[in-house]
Amino acid sequence: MEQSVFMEIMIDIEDPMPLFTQLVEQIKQAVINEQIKPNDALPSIRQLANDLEINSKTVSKAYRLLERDNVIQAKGYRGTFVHPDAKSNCDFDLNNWLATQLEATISTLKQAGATDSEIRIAFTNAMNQYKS
Amino acid sequence: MPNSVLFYLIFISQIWLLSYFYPRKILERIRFVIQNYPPQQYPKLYPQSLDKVERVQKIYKFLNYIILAIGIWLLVGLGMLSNADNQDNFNEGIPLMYGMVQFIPMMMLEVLGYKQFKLMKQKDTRTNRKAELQPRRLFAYVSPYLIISAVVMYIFLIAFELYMTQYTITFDFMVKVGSVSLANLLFIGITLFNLFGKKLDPYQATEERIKQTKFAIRSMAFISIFVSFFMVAQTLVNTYELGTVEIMINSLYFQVLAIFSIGRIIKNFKIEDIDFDVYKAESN
Repeated sequence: MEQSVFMEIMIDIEDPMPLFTQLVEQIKQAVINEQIKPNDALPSIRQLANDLEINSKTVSKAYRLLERDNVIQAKGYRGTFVHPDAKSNCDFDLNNWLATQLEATISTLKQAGATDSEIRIAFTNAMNQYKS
Repeated sequence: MPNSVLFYLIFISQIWLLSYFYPRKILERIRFVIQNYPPQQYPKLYPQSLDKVERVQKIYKFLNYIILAIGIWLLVGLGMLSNADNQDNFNEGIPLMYGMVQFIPMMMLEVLGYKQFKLMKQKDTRTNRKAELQPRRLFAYVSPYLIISAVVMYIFLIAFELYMTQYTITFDFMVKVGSVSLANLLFIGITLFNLFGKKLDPYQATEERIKQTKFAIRSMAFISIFVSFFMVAQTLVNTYELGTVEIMINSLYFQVLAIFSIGRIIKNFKIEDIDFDVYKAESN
């Protein structure tokens, strides 16, 4: 029943880095440093938002991104837990991969002779098609 | 021992405990904090001037003295009013009404305490915020058996009241069960607030918060059990027309409430164990 040693995260509300990004980075760092382990329970969105005195939507966004990256798992009423493969998944930076993919694609298109505006129009059309 | 003598002893105990002993202990705690953690070294603890704290202390002391005097007057008055023919002719409501008045100074301190925390938050200019990465779960703070006992006692009260009214829902039944249900809802609300709500004191260390949460939840559970028990005792006393016993139970009710709330704070939350370093000017 006793609470054991606790892991804390800290955010700076005046840091230029968005709050949700600070949360994502700190939780990933905690996983990498094994301060939190696979299948460890995480606080609820409401608890974390109240403790940090930030909007619950900010915490919700951070948790969504972490879930997308398979660092955490939401298990409904049971709560949120660290993903079993969280440590290896933390090494994968989606934004970095996205930038690399786009750069490669744009390079290929430019080599084929496409102009900047043609590339932008095609990209926008592709995004709109995906949405619909 | 005649019932009236026993009642006098219990009522004297109520007057002494709630209007002298516990207020004195609380004043000692306030004085200890002011002497050992003065505003010069611990400015974050005093969002308002020290004069204001001392003024509140004086008002609290004065109120308790007035209520103590009222208690002694009631005691003397009751003694004069009772006559040789009917020594049990006491107003049953006196200990209850007086008990409610005795809690007023404590409620005043609670309200002022909340205002103090609000001011501390307004003056808190730190941009860093910390949070635990562990969920706060109920049974990490309180034994499941204590919660189960409170639930069982509540169910027992409902079953007992139904049995006594021969399974008819009377107005009295609705009032009793309704008031205990409302009280339990309040206790649940306080528990949820302590578990998941915002920190009142912006500087409070995590360890202190854990201690406070454990204490608050356990107190709520004990008081819930006691309130249910008190209602059962009231019903028994009314059913068997034990008028003088009822007046003693009413007096004991407030004393037990005080022991489980104020008494437990004084016993379990020693000032010396609280981390006051968080209120220093240079602390983060």
